[in-house]
Amino acid sequence: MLHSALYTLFCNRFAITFGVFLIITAGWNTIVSFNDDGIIKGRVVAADGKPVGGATVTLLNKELLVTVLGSRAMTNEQGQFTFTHHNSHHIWLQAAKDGMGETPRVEFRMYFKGQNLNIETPLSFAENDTKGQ
Amino acid sequence: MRRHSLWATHLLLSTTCLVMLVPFYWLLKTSLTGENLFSYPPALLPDNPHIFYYVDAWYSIPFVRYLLNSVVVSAIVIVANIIFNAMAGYALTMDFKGKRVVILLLLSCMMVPYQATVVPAYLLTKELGLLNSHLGMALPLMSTIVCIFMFKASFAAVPRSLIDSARIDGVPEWQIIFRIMLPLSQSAIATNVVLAFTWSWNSFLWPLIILRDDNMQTLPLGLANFLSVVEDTSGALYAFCIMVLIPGLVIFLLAQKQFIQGLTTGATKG
Amino acid sequence: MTVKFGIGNKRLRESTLIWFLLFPSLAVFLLYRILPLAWNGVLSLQFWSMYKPPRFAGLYHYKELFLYDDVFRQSLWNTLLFMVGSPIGIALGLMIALLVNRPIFGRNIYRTIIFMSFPVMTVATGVIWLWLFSEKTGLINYFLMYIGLIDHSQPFLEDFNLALPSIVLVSIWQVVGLYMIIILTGLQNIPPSIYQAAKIDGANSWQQFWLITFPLLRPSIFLCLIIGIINSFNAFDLVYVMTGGGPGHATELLITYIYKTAFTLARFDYAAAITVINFSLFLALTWLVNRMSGGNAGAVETN
Repeated sequence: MLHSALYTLFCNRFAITFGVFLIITAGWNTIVSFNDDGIIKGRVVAADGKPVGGATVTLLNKELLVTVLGSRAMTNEQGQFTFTHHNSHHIWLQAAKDGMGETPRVEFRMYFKGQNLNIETPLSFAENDTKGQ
Repeated sequence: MRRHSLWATHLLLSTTCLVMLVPFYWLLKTSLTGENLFSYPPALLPDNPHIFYYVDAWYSIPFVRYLLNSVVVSAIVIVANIIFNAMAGYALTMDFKGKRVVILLLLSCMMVPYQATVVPAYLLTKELGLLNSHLGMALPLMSTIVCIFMFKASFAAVPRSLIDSARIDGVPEWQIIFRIMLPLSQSAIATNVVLAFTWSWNSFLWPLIILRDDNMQTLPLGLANFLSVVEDTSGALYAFCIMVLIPGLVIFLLAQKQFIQGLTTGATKG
Repeated sequence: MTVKFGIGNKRLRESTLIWFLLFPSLAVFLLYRILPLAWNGVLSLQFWSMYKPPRFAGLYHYKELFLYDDVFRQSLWNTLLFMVGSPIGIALGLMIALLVNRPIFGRNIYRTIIFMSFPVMTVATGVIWLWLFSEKTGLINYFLMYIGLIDHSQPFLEDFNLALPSIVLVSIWQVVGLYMIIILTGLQNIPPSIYQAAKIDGANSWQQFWLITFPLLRPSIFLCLIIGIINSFNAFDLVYVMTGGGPGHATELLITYIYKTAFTLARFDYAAAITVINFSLFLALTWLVNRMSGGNAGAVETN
């Protein structure tokens, strides 16, 4: 009797659908909580592939209708930069250095806010930039 | 059945199904790729789908809050519907003075469409102090006449002998309702749940009139608000639309039988 | 039958129980159907204001409605046009129901798919079709140009003449599944013995349809007609989302005009007058449909 009552309670389609939904939500939230420290890491290179130190990288947050300035960071000697505590899901990155001009803006869309990002392709300055001198 | 008539039937039905499904497919495709927002001609298959519009929609609108509001209102409506309608249906199975007047009253209320009452209902709800509240949203929907008659028919179908023997045994009235009548009326309850859910979940005009706060808005209102903010500049609108549709469609697919049953009782009654 | 002591008490108890059971439902209907109807009538004859007590106005609002208000006339005309679209929807539903009723493979799947537009929120339907009708990038324009029916994009929802038919089309798309289900039930309620008797008498399928099926479907069709009338009053969601009243009131329906008058202009008394006319129109049409279906809600004698 108890067995059949439990069966009806747990094996009907509504319970199963709801249960699957709960499991998926719990799983997703776990994944998110492990990866949402808000850390973005990347590199900046010159046109010939050499790392560029001392460049300023600008992080722009794209919201639904407008794009706002997020924060800035400097690259170290190996051309690497790190942003911490970012809180957006859609960003643009651009590097600039005196005498070398600017890299093109690159867009990144993420699956949740504050997703950790390790950028493979470096931001690279264009081959012939006339801003240099 | 002759062969070519069979093929013709399938062809016509398939075309109709296509017409019914293409809008949904198009919505889904746009929410996944956003490629036709600005470019032309439209492509038939999604090219490079991504779910980032869903992420956009999730973070631009308080979807969970709207969902909760809708759920709360629907829950109130469903529970109130079952209780009130069952009570009234049961009362109608008994004979009493003034029964004919009550039935006439109910039938004539069925003739009053919802829009004819909108303006005074707003003033009334304001007097009751229920503007901007879940209860105020749920109140006009808390009882439906079609379902009362459905319960009445269902209760009347319970064999008289069962009730009589219970009465002779001295079982109090309310126990008769709960232990005998309700368990035998499960299909009426299921249909009532499904119909009450549909009407309260999709109701747009009434919450539009009643609600002022942004954090009390229900899903349909949220969608309309989002439309006015974004218009057609972003695929996030279509992603939000899909997010809004999913609960309704899931419930529909799971409870098809009850939906169809609920509508057909209305048909046979008419 | 022995007269028991206390039978009066039992009657009273039973009667109290009955009224207690009826009370919640009756309260809801009293508050939200009957009282508003009466209040509408009263409001329409008053000058109502939020800060002062109402004053009697007589037929002032009605005079303004009929003599000076062009928007009202346009809304009335649009609502009537909208209702012309519903028999088309019913005819479509009838054809589909006849097809689905045949014993073919997969009819349940067809039935579910065609019915799927019913539980969809009208607001969502509006958003979807707003997108489909879009002038620059919409699918409908592309499709019509692809098959060569038109030679350049039509602004369906911005054109004065095309806006209302577009909305009627969407309304039909949404409701045809419902019509199909209702008529299908009616079809399945016809006992097959009637058809067999007719076949024996030598009736072909055309005659079978007109002399047996169609008359026996009267209750279902009556219900569909009523739903169609209610739908045209209900198309508020669609108009609000898709055109907001349309290019220059081309899609303004009575219900959207009531909404705007009452809740953006706060002229509750004027809106009540429009509501009274709206409701009278509804009653008149329902009575007409009842007469056309042969009275008695189209019920059929089966003998």
